[in-house]
Amino acid sequence: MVEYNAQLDNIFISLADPTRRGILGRLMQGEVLSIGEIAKHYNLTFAAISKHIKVLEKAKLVTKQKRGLHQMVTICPETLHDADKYLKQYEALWKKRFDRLEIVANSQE
Amino acid sequence: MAEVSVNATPNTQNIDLVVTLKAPLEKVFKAYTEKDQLAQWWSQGDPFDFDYYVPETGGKWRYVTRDADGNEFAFHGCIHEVAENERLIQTFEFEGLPEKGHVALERADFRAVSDNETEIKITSTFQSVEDRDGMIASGMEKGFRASIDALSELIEA
Repeated sequence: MVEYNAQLDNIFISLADPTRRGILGRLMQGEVLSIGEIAKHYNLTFAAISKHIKVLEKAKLVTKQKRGLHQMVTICPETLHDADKYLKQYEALWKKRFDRLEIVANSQE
Repeated sequence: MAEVSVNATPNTQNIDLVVTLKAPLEKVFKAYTEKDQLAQWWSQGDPFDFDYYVPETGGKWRYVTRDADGNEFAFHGCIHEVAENERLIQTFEFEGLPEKGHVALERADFRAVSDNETEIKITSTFQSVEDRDGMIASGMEKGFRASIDALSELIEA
């Protein structure tokens, strides 16, 4: 019943927040942004954005590299695609459940 | 193969699921609400036991599953209404959450599309967007579905 997977948990915790989804959306356009540049788009402090980035980093959705004084953030699209693949499998699982329901229903006298 | 449509609009508290099965309404409803039949199709292969399943208005249910590592996951709820061949309204709570009271309301409507086709529409309403998204975080199946939209939005953007 429960498909527990810590990595997916982290991804979904990341996706559950609109600010983090916004940050991901921005980064998906292929840009490499500093935390300061990201913070400019939101009504949030540098520290708050930093925290969001940490959550995304833990889920392996982004990576951080130092460039001079700045921390540059890059997206890791393969993590999203892995999760998507898993979800598709999961959807197939639900389909299987309904297929079983159909069989159970039709095997009644 | 059953075609399942899922809708979890971002920033709402609902998850909607619609499926049409090739089976008569009466049989689908029976398979959906009789303990032994329900256990046959609901389980995904992990050991699965109903402590109790009382499918009647004012009834209740509880089941426990065990994964390969021996972890147990328990779920329970109350059955608000069983309207034969029409609908089933019940609550749903995962017992593994650190805080009690995060209960979802599930309404399943059954409709005969033809003599041998039945549509089931399941609407799960959580108490808040956070609760729904919390389901995502806890890795529960309904929660997984909620995130599909957010994910595909990002991927297709």
